[in-house]
Amino acid sequence: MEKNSIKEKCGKLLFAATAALCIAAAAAIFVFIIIKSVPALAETGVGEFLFGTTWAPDANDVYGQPLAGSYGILPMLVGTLVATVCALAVGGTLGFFTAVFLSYYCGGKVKAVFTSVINLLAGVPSVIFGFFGIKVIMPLFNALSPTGNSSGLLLTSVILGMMIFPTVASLSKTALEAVPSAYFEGALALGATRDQAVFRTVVPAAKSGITAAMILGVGRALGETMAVVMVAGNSPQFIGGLFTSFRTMTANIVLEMGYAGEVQMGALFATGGVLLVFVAITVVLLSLVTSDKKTKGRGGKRRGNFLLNGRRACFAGKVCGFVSAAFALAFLAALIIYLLVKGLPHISTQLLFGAYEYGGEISILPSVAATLMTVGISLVIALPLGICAAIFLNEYAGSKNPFVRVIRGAIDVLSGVPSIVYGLFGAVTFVTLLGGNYSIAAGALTISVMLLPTVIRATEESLRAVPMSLREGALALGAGKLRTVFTVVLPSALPGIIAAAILSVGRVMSESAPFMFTMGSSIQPMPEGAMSGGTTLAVLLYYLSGENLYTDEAYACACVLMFIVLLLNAAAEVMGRLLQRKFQGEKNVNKKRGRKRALERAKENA
Amino acid sequence: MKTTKKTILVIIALIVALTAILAACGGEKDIAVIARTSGSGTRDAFESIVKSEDGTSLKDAGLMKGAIEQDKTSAVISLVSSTKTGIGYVSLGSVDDSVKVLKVEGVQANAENVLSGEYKMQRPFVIMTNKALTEEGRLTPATQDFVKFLKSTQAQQIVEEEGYVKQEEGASEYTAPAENLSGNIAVSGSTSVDPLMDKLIGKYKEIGGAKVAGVEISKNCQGTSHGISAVKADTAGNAIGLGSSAVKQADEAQIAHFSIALDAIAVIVHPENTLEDISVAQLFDIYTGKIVKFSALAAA
Repeated sequence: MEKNSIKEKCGKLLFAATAALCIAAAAAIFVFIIIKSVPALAETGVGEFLFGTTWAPDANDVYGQPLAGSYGILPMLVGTLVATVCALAVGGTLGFFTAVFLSYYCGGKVKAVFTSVINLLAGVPSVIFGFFGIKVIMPLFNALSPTGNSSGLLLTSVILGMMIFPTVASLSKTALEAVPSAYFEGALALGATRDQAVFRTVVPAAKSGITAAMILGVGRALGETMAVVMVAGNSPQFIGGLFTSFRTMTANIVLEMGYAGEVQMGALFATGGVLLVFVAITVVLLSLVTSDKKTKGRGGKRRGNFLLNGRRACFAGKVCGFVSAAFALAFLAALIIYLLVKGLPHISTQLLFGAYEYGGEISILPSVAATLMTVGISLVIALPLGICAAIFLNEYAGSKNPFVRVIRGAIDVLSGVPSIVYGLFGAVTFVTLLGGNYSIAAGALTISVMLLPTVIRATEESLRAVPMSLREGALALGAGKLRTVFTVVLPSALPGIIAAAILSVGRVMSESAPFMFTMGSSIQPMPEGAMSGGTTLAVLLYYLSGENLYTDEAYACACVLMFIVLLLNAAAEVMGRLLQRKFQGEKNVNKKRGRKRALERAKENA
Repeated sequence: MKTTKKTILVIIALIVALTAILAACGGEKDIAVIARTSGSGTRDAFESIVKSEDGTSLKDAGLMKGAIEQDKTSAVISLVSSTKTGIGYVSLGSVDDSVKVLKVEGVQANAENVLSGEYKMQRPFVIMTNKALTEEGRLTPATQDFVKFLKSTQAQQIVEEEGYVKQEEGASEYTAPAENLSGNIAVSGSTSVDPLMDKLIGKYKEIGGAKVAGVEISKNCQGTSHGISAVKADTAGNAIGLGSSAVKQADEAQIAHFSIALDAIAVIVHPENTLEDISVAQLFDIYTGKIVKFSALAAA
């Protein structure tokens, strides 16, 4: 017994330690970004930096000497905020109405189709979004612009909006479905039309969940980089209209990081720091919204929402739902068809499997290898850590424990940190640690940190889906807690955990910003080991499209990437189904719903 | 039935509204000025060459506010090809059929005119190494060998094959080294030179064969200034920088360099643009925001 209790304690401690690692990771990101930005802030002055209106860096500026350039990020600060708000107006509206449509106006098959459409959209790499924006959407808007080119706020809002759309739609859908059906039925019984029941009873009841979805959407829009760089126009000036070129903070980092001088580099890190502050604000807002118990169950109270008061208005809401859902479908279809038409004819065996030597034909094989290595290394690191942390959070920790609340906060922060800031973080930590050269190892380590929240959340949801009775049974048979976890709970949750792994792979596939300053961004021959540089597929796509010499190959590469994302999505779906089927014997309807929700939430976290 | 009617009505109303907006946007549009972002060697070269009539360079005058800045050549081409009133500049080697190349001061942008110096908008592609290390002979043997190759006639042949203008002077035949070389060479810098460098490294490996098989060349290109700082910071003697504009006076002290090719910067517009020829002074006025309509050019 004595021996066992020591083992149990060690186990718990280990799990707690991995969970605490999240706090360390979040803290490290803040600390490193701050350390790097303080000298620059001291040089320029915080006020001058935040409220200066000119951004004209001089790469020759060094610390301790008078500055030749000026470093004011106010135009970009405003640009980021305005773009985020406008993106929310587009993506939030679309997402909300689509969610309503999916929850209350469509049947099983249609719903399944749209749910996978949303999941797919969520998986589209941002480089592809940007590509699509510049090639397809931009010419559509050009006629409207006074200069004949539509780079600027409108285009950025649409692209960003479509990028945050899946987040908002799927989370709002979860919130809407969580409203007890009695609300809806009660409203109908009182003589409300279906539309009124939905918009005046169910929607107000799901308000906090929908708000949370919007806030997460804001987080995503704030941190988006690669797509924005292509469509915003990038001039560091204040937004002057729908079609003036402007620059966001994330774009500023990715545009200038590559060749920044000393002070300029510090200023870029400080820009990252400002982004982090915004992330922190969204996390705090999110916790305020979701912990607000008062808003729950107040759906029946009469509200002064004049927009959705009458029957007509509610009907209009329904129409909006249909239109939004159709629009999302059309957008995804256009994106996929465009890529297929442009890319498919250029996929060749040389491109897919040919050896790449300097000066030879382009092949994506080295990048596939580099991507696989990155995936492998990051999974080996992030999966065990994430699973252990999830076990601690779900099996050991009480929810009231302040330590646990800090951990959850840290996870929220980690999942909210923009990918470009991860790139900055990786560049100053892992790259320096590994000898100062770009390497696959550095990139993989960077993305591992980024994967932690994804893995933890997805695993936790699947652990939660395991019925309590299984644990109780195991404990009753005399198994210790550790044994219960490893022999009963984890195997039952396995499909969910595999789904988490697949989601992580998808994330590695579609991210590009964290790799550009950790792994490198030009095409390279077959990597010789984890210490050589490399490009993942998404970065390769960015590179190939760069000098206008390999455009066909870029399209083909985009096709391959989309195909992989599709496959991964399908695989995650299958795993989710397995998890569901596993517990089908369980009669408890409530729990079943819980599982379903858990799966959906796991997907959203990707 | 009533619902479908209403839906159709709403859709019709939307279409009408959109057409109205479109119709309101008639008339001649302003020029959409498209430039590269500030670390780009292409931009650096363009802004040094483009001068106003009184001799102020665009670099000193500064790019107009509100110009579209793109970090990639392809984005510039893509934007110009979809923008009827767009104007941009890119390396001549990257131009495709989707855009129209303007004559500058009446001179066509081609190899002949670049070499003769008649075409003004040109810049060298330079290879840079750390000056102190180079002069003291402390570059690694592999790096020295590679630099030797880059100066060779074989390298010049590749330059020509790739559509750039070769630099005749001082090229000699490269032969594979007597002994086996090994070590790492870190190449960084201009994205414009990157594709050419690809081919050059390939040729080097081909000629050098087994002797240079142990030489690992890693390449990472993020802009000319990136290459400059990498070369300045070099201590191991294995950094090679690629530049797509002439090395600045201020950097001469720290950087040893030679140019490997000449490249023309093509001024591009939409294929439907009727403009054929543009002067350097007009370019200056466009990029500083003084001229905002193409019709103003035709009148002048």
